[in-house]
Amino acid sequence: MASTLFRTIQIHPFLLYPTALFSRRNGVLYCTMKSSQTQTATQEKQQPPKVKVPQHALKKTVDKITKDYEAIIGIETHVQLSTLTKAFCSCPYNYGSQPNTSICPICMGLPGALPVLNSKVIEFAVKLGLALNCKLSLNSKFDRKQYFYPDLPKGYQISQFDIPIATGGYVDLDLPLEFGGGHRKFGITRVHMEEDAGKLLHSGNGDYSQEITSLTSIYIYCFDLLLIDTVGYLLQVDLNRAGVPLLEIVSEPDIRTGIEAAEYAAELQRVVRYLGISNGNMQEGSLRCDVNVSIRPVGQSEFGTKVNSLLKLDLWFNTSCRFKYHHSQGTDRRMHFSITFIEQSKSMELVEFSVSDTDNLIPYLQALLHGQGQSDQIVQETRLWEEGAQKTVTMRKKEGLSDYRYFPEPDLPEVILTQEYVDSISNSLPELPEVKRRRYEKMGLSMQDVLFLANDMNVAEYFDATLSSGADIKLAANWIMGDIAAYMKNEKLSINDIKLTPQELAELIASIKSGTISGKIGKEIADPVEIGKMIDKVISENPKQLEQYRGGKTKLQGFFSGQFRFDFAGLRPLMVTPPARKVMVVADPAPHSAAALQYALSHALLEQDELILLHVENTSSWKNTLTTFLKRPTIASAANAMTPNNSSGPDWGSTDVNFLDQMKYASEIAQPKIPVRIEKIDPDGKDKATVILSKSKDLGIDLIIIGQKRSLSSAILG
Amino acid sequence: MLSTIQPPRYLSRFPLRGRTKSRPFQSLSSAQPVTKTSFAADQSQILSIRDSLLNRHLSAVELAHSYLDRLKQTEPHINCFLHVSDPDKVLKQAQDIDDKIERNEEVGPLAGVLVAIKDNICTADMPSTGGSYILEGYRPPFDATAVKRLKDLGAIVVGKTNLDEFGMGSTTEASAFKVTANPWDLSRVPGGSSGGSAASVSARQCVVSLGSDTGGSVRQPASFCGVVGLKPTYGRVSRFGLMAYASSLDVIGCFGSSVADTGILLHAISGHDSLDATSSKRVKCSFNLKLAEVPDFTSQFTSASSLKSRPLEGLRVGLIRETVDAGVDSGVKSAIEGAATHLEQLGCVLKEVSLPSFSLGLPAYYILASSESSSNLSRYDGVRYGNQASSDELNALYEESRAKGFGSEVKMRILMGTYALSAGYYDAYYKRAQQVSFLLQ
Repeated sequence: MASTLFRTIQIHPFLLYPTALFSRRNGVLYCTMKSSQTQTATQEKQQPPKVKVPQHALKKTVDKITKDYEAIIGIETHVQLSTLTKAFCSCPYNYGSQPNTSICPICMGLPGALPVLNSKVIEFAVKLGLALNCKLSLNSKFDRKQYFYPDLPKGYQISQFDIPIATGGYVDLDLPLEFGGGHRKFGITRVHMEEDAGKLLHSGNGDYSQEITSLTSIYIYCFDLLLIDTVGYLLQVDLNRAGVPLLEIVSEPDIRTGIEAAEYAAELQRVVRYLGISNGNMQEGSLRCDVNVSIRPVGQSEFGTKVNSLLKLDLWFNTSCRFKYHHSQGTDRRMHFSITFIEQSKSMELVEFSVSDTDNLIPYLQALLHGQGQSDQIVQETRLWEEGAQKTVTMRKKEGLSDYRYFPEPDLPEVILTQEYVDSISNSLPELPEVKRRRYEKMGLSMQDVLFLANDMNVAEYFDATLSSGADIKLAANWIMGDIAAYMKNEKLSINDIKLTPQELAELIASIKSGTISGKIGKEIADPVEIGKMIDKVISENPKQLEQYRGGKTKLQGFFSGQFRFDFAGLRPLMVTPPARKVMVVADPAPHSAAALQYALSHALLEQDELILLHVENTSSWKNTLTTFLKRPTIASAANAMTPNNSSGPDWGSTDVNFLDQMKYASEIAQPKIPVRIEKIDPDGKDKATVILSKSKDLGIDLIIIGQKRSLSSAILG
Repeated sequence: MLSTIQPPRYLSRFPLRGRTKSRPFQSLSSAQPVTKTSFAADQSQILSIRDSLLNRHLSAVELAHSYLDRLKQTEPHINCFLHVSDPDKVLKQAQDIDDKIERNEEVGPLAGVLVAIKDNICTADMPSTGGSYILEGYRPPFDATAVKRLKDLGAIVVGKTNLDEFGMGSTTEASAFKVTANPWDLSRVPGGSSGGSAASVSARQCVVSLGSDTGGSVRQPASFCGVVGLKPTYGRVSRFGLMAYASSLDVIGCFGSSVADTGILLHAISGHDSLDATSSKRVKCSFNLKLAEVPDFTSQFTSASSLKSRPLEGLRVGLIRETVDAGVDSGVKSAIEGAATHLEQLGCVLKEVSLPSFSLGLPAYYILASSESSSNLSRYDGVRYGNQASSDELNALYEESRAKGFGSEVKMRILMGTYALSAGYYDAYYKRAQQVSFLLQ
């Protein structure tokens, strides 16, 4: 085994990276997995044959292989259910809580403890079974799957073996257009319920010492901890996750490409999120994919011995790419995906082998193709997706089929569903992604739009709500996919966080459509008078909203911001030969105001323009924030010239400095040709937004720039 | 009742002589009613204790003292207990009961009753080893439901009794710690696996005790020790807290020195438990098979003196032909026939019936029990609790902890069970045994 380990490290130096956790896991597995001598021998023999193959010959070989062979991919997905308590006891589960703080005699597998099924697990399983078009088993049962591992407290996992709760379904999905598009239907073999195991904490360096200390102190039942001191490492068990309910979804081996695999997993993620049975977060392990890959000659009907690769399909794009490389570019260095072949020549005897990097791949493929089947070098293995290195590494070699000695779980009664129960759940199912996509498609939306809107449940809800408020389909889609999506992306917000409600969006779209606000407002911008008119319009068209806003309905800030953002959207690109404008920056001593000024100076102002710094006086509350403005780094570019030894500058140290002067000074340095004017205005008890707008109207302002702030300034510009 | 000849007792049977003897049954104060009318207290130690306590003829402390003294005196000869409760704690609990009675407060129906618990039933405040070295010193963080119910009713746990390791055996010799003797003849075994529980009741070290029965582990030692043992229907008593041997067969059972005591004990521990999904939700059946609204076995008790000459008149009893067929030991045969005669004398009508699948029961039991035990005992891996072998390597840790922790009988059954469940043998063994099991049900 030592040689195996050594070899692994030699070939995959990334094993030492990034954390001890990972390398430890391999270490432990190598140390502990019972491997026969023959397997070790196999390992040693698996060194690349010393055949020098010219580069062009390799290329040719690979081309031939990719043409003659196809990948057969099946995926096992584990979905962690978001039930309040675990599957068989009343412990809650919260991802990331301190080790062993959410455990009880039942999920610890103490002597005498018995499982009692959480009925929510059945409900969620039925929901998913129905959503995946499966046939439900009205009479199913639990079984014990037996193996020894420290994260498995009972020595067996409660699972379902021969009678899963749901079988024989399918999932429909639409491939992204950038990958060629197209509709796919993949079979679902089965969905069954089971419990999760605990987690092993590996400690080799300081990274985990803290966890171990807390583990010891928090361990409530005073039992001996698992302490295995192998090569200076400490292995400990966190049982928080033990007993958390899972649904395992097994696909048919219908998947042929990496894109399809990634999209299949993405669709499952959507389905479980739409159903509300899991958060589907891959980073938390709420959705895990085991990908089984084998490769066979095109046209052959048997499958090869599978390679089971635990893939963290976290970043779809990455995954897709990886699979793509795998499929089309056998030589790509980033593709370290193991491949299993079966050779047809030996009739029923399956001959397969696995290679872990491309150096080995080519000679093996050659060997295969030249009928020199090196069957002794063929290994079935499980590979692990390594996040840091973005590739898979050997996790364990399999000697063959494991015998889990399944038998019916005697501690739990059979699971008996009544048709009424199934029907009631069936009637309560939400609209599922596939149905939604087909509905959107029928509305006349393009597939690109359909996928964008339906892929994220929250976006779809927003879109549907906007439509139900009477908005035009195409305009609503454009708004959401355009301005709103861009805004969300810039601000790193989800659609649930933005202030513009679907109803408000619908009203906005309606007013654009009816012509009160022109969608092509940019054309009118040439006439400066139009700007003022436009602002008036927005306000006067929506007196109700304004009234509501004054009445304290802060959500409407988003409404106005949406209106104005839209109004000004077409402005800049059309300023090819612009007239002199009055640009107003609302000034106050806060960082966002500084940012607004900086934006004005760098992006908005042209030579002939005039800059007006408008300050709505309310100084008493702002005095204290003055220093924030001074420290704000975003002003730095404008204030580059303002070095401390510039004696002509204002007195920066004084607390009573007029920040307006500072801003004016900064502006003059940045844009010496632009006249700067300071305007102060007393709100006189009026709403600030109203004051600014009326003032801008009085002054004939062409462009208002207001700094982004969650509170008031967003009322005007968002 | 049976016409078997019992050996002379090595130890005297009546530890309470001079204290409770010839106490006449008296009606109780209305504040503390006892649910019986015509049943003489002297046929039930539990009822007799209750009477004595409530009538202030005897204090719980005195009672506890008498049992503890006797336990101390007899235990070195019989070795019933793997753990005896701290006498001070027992006396403190007894004192609490006395104080309550003093204040005229309600006390539970089992107040002051000393019970022994088989060591494979979890008790929160004392070691529970299941008679296995692998759990030496293990203290569970919870009480088994049956134990909790007894405690709630006022019973005092006097100790944990010896057993064949995890209940696997029928002599109590397979315990990892000690061999229990039969109180009637110290050179003989008390039976098993609940030998400690049976012997402790027989030797009057406690009033009643809990055992467990998977394939006769209550009934057989009760017979060996001359006490009443009751194996309840599966599901009647919660298994929560019983260290699983064969989950689909395990039952917590009762030992008492009289049918009445055993019945009272069963009544105390039976009923649905939300912690055991296999415990029955059906209301309890009274013994005449009518569904009882008030599930109280004691309500069926009748004083022997008030019985008619043929009290079982009208009851039809089936005599299973296969139990008296060729191949059955002549002693067993004569005992069964003696019992049959006795039942006829009491008014029963006996009818011989045939159960053709009877002979399949034992092989099916061995397959099912060993298969389930191989799975149930997987949790004893030395990782989280119990004895752990020191090892540098995970598989070696498992192997050595289990090799050192389990006795040979347990290992044999684990091997048998593992074999029966293995791929390729499952259908031939486990599946067929399960079919037999369904057939017998």
